[in-house]
Amino acid sequence: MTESAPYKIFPHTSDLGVEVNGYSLIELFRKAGMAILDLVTEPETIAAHDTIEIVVQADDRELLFREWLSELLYHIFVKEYLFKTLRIVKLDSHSLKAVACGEKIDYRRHKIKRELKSITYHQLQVSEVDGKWTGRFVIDV
Amino acid sequence: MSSPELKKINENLWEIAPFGEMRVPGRIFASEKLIQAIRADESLKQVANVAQLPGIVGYSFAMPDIHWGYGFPIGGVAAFDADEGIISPGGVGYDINCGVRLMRTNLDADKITPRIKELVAALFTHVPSGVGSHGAIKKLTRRDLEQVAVRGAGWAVEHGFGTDDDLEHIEDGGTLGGGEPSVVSQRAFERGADQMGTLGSGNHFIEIGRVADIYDPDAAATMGIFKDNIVVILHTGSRGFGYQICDDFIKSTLRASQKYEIRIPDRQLACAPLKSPEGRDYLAAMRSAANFAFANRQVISSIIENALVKSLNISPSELGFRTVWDIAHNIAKIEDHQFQGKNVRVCVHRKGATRAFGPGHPDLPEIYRQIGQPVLIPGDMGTESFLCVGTTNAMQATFGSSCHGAGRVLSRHQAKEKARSRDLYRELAESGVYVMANEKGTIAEEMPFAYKNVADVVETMHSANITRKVARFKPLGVIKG
Repeated sequence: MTESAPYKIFPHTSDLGVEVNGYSLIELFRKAGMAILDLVTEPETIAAHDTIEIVVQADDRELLFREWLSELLYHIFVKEYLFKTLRIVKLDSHSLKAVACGEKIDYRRHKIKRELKSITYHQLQVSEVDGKWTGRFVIDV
Repeated sequence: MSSPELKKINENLWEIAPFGEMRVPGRIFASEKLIQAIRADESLKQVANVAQLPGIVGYSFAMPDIHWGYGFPIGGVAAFDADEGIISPGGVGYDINCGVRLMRTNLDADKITPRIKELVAALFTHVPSGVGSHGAIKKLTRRDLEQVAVRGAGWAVEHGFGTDDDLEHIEDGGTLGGGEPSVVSQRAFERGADQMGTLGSGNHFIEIGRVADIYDPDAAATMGIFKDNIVVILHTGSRGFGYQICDDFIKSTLRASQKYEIRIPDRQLACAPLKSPEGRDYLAAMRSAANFAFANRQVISSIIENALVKSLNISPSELGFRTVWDIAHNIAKIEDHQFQGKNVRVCVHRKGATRAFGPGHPDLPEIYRQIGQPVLIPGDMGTESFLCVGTTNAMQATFGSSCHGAGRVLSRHQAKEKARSRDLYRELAESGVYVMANEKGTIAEEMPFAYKNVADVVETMHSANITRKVARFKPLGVIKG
């Protein structure tokens, strides 16, 4: 099955609204993660040197979605780690385990386009219609 | 989604009558012209949502620069009863104590204008800005950060950045009492460690401007502001330290909202009773982040002073660099007010709104007690900024609060679309503003066309007798993160 478009920006006056679609929940989570990367940097400049494991938990699926994206921001902006690929190893309504492959930020080689402060809870949505999943989130920039 | 119905109270004030779960009316300060833009997004619905939260006193307010935020609108003010009310991390925002500092100088704008590129370049070199910018000072240890969280700008002065005179010209003396590092997460310390003395990205900036107009010569002279002199405006906040604290406490207050059975119309309005352990912990953590921001602006202003002294090859006394005032515009504070003839103690949330205490208020430093608290209202980088003062009427009408800026009308994405294939640097240069930025994208997002006209916003608050205009500044050079 081919993948749907990577992601869309939806208008929000002060912040950045992102919509991602997928044919499975795993695809949705992975593509939302890659959307974050694309908003921050130029993914083609990243080498797949190191592997890290990411584990997150939350009270429900939408909160898990936000928690996952929030954890990626932590790795990018605090641990200064950029990922080239994301693989979701395990996913249910309350927990996620993923493996990211990438490298530490090198400011000479990697362009950082913008700082993303946080993934907000405003208009946060994970829903499914006829097998197509949609995820929406607003980023404070 | 349709906007709530508005009733016009007078030329500058509109009201949303309570409907649904609203506990109090909404009140929006705006001229006829500004209300059109306000109706266009979802901010009025957010004013109504805030009015649903427990313990809200009087009104859910919106200033004329209101625009659609997440949860609370940006440009929103809400006071909650200190005994019965709530506190909400989303009502303060991620950039806790994002704020503005105004510095005056003795410099003559006519002499500085030909050298503006050199000065902007010097500031750009000395003040780390943009994403991944590291501190202008050594990475702080956990112990340093704990002290910053408690002492705020006082910590910076003790470490050689600026003087005690600066502290007298900062809201709360640059230190919000009750900062408590023990409730701050390890991640927040990690995010803040390397960011002291950094501007950050987005709408944060340093602006070198000319005093273009004086409306109130006495008040301006009290603040050391004279026509055609150079002023410097700094806009930044608590950086990653604050973002992480907000994120951590939205999570904990979401659970608290359930625990205390508080109905919230939007998860971003997560809140906890002010007197609950969750509410008290957030208040203490938020004050820690506010202190980080006060320290950050103190460190940066000291770096700016040194960079100007060095670049211009003059003495500090010739430069005459002095903090006029430093305000927080994303904050929650416990304050005593008189409301409808009664004394009330409230937790005033100002999200994208500025405290604007009137003359005689005991919290103001002696020097400003006669004129009222300075209120700094920066516009977008291409037009103008205003210096105002709070009024006695503001104390009655808005819990001593006013607007904080121009307010966006275009989303960042729309602004970028509009900027496509335009030479923005040239356009700004043609309007007399030299800009340096880390990213061209940031310039596009912050262009004048993305904002309301700040003069309309300021005029509304002036006409409504909430803040009075004192001076207008015209930007000459700007550094964007």
